[in-house]
Amino acid sequence: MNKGLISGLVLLVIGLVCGVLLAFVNSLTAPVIQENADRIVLESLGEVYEGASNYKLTEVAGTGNVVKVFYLNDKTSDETIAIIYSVKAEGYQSTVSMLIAIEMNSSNQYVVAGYKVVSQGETSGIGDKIVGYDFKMENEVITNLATFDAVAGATFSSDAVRTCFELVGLRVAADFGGAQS
Amino acid sequence: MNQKQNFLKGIFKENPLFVTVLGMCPSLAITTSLENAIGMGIAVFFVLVLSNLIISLITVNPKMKELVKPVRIPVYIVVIATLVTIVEMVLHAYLVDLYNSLGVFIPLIVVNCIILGRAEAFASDNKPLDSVVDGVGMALGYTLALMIISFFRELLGSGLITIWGAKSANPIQLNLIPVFEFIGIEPINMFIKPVGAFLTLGFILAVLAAIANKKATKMASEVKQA
Repeated sequence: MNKGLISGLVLLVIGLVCGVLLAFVNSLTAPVIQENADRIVLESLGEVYEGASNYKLTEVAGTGNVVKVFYLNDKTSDETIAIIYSVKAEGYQSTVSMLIAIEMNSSNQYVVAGYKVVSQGETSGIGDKIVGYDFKMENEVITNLATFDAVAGATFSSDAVRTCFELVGLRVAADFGGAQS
Repeated sequence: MNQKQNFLKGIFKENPLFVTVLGMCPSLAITTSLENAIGMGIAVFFVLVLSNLIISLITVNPKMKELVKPVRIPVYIVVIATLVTIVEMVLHAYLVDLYNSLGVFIPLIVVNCIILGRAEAFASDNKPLDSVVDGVGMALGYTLALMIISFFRELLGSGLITIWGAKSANPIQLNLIPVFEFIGIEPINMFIKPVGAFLTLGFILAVLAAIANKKATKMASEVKQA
């Protein structure tokens, strides 16, 4: 047989052995790497939903301005305890991004468990007041924006936040499995 | 060459960093802290020892050596890349802080000329045991060199050396900040930056060259006297 071909086959065999070895190591380390990544995400989600790290995380890509949806499920029953939405909306001069946590209360209503403006580039001293501002939405039903308290003098920026809540309100029931809103 | 000489040459006579000046790019980049240097040293140790062993095992049979000869560089790269990827996956899973701080320099071990150099220059022509001893010596020499550079850089640059600070409740620390305060100066931040890497290496190489020159002069005068 051609000597060059045999050398090529030797290289192929070595490559295959290395590939199998890598697949084996990957099967051992991939779950740990995923677990570490989930833990980091859960720690940051803990800022909008206390105790987030006690649940099993499932991350799903969103649609449109709902960037991502994080399902927090019970580790044993797999029941969805809360859903955290990463949403965005256009403000006065930038895109406002928020995390909004929703859970179901005892009356089977979807209430806001926590929220946070995670990034914005609004006008300094006016629009940027939306960071850390109490929009009076905590524990309120997500579809009821009557209690929403806008930042005085920052209408566009506040509207962006309001839009974020509205976006969540539109899909939350379906995400929870279509239960009563 | 006996095993002791084979082992020691990597640490002193043929130290990869201080004598043969190989693998400089990652070495200068990651020596910003002693912890990084130890981590990189361990990663290179694993890859170098195992790549030397595997390549020596592949080429120990003369027939196999002849077959591999035309494709030896791709074979070395495949073996080294596999080992580096294993190190990368293990670090990513179990030592995340170290994985993040070493960053791109972990996958770059694949093209580290120390490893490829030892595979070509030593492991492919020697028995497995000799190759392992060579790998251990070279890796230890490399790790020690990294530790020496990073020791000076971190100490002078930040005034404080901390090892396993993130993981341990009682990290190993060497604090020189009171000395800096006593002298009335701030830690020399420049040593943490790239320029500090070149300066530190330059000073160390100059000191080593001075010692070697002194030794050579002494030996020459002894020979003359004899």
